[in-house]
Amino acid sequence: MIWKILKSEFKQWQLIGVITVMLLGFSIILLAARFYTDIRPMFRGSDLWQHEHIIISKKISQQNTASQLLGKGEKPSFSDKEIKALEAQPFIKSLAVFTSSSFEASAHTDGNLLGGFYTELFFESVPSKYIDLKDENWTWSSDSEFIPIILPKSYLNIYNFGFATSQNLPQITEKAASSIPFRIQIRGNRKIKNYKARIVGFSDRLNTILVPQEFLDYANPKYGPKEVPVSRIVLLTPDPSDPELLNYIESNQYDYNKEQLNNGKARMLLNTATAIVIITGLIISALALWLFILSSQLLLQRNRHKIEKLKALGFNTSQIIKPFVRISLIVTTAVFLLSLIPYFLVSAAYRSALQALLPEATVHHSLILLIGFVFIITLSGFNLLIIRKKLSRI
Amino acid sequence: MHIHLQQIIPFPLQDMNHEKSAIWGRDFSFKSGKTYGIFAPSGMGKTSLISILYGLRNDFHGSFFIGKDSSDTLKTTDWMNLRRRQLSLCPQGLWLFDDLSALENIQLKNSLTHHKTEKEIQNMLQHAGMAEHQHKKAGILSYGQKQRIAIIRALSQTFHFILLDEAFSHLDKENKHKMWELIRTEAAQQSAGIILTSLGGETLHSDISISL
Repeated sequence: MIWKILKSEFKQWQLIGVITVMLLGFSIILLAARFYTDIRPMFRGSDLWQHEHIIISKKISQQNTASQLLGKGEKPSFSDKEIKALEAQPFIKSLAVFTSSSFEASAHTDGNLLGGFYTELFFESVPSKYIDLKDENWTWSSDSEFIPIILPKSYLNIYNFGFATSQNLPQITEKAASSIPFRIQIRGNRKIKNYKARIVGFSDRLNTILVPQEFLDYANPKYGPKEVPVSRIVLLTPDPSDPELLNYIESNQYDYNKEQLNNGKARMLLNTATAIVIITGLIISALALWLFILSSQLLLQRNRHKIEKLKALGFNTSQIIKPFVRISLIVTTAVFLLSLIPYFLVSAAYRSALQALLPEATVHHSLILLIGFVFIITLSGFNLLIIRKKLSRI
Repeated sequence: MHIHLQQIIPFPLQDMNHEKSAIWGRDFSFKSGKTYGIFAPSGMGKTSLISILYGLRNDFHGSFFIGKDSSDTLKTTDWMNLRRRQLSLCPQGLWLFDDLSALENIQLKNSLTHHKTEKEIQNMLQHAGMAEHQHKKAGILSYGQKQRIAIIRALSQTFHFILLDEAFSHLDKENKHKMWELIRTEAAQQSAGIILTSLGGETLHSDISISL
């Protein structure tokens, strides 16, 4: 009945205005959040690195190729001094050196699988804390007969689109490749040892064959020379496209993967763009909240005398605020439900494109919508708080 | 329950001579169960007294007690509770909501405590001769009709005191007596006190006549 008393001062167009503006702001926020969570995995992909990083190596010049061919001169490698200098740089959080295998190794498939595939190969490793692989197999101990391997995705591509096509061999998926058992033989210091092996992951960004650090720590001294020069280093850094970092790398004549850097830049761009869109959405939402508060205040002021009468009759603030709670609920529900229309329309529009790029992408509708709901409830709660304060002063 | 006044003078009346007044600047007790008639010409503070007793204004010297509670310590929420169950008011301005029907105005007040049943409300409307007008919007009723509705509304709650501020000013003799009967019956049932103000010349019976 209180609503009946207050409603004659209530203007519907104001409510529609509030809903429209709030809907605009809220939809922008929802869509930006959705787009961001959709696109983000593309930049992380299936990559196995834990953190933002950049891999550097020494530049190889014709001159040192020549001197190496003549059996003179060192292979370009990082000295302890250089590593210490890198560690001291403020833009480098931490670094790890790649350990290379110092023995001969070969892999072959059992029996007729893949036509008795055989290849010579090499290994590298980094400490396992740098690798984001949730596979319990990614360990190795000296009594283990099994070696897990991480392969660059490009190797599989070379096989599938080059080798398999030309040699009339079957093309294989990542999953199938992971299930093929290999045998690996390592040789050195007049010793030979056979291991079982399997591919446990593929990496987009890494051009090397990775095995657990523990394996090389064990096998290098046993089958190879004592010291292995450091030829590659992974640097963990908050921002791989930091110009200071790049200048440092250039000035020391190190080499790095420029494509990977582009990826980092694209991710930065995505983050910035999303932030701008979300901030725009937040500003519009703040304006909508302001409009909501203003029109509620207007309704309150217009009804001031009636509210005074109600209070004089013995009605308290919580009773008088009920119609305002109701309006708030209507606005909130309307905005929330209406915002689902652009949300699902737009996300359906780019969904097929997204699925082609990221077949394994899962959509966290419920999380996004929950966050959205909490957000909008907070807005209307804030409005009600202000109304309550004003009401208790009348 | 008593309402005990201690040396109350409203700020706007502080420069006037209150020698003859029984209320202003004196100690005075209203006792429930009694009927008090406050007769004075306009400008002597009848409505001020009612407003002070109902907690609507605090621009006065002195203080008063409602039961054991001092006016100095009563908070807004205390006044809300007093207005729901202990003090009933039929204000001079009536305070009806024009957008509600006559009946809805009564129901609104009754919804706070559900003191009266629908049937009891109908009986009161019948007695006041307002039954056929009960569904009309309060805004279109005559002033006399509005006064009757406001009185019935004031009776739709429990109270220790009912305050009637010139509540009969627009009623003819017959209607005045009908309404007075309703008020007296309800007050007697609740053993409540009646405090009514009038410009004077009332024919209504009151136990104690007070001049301001």
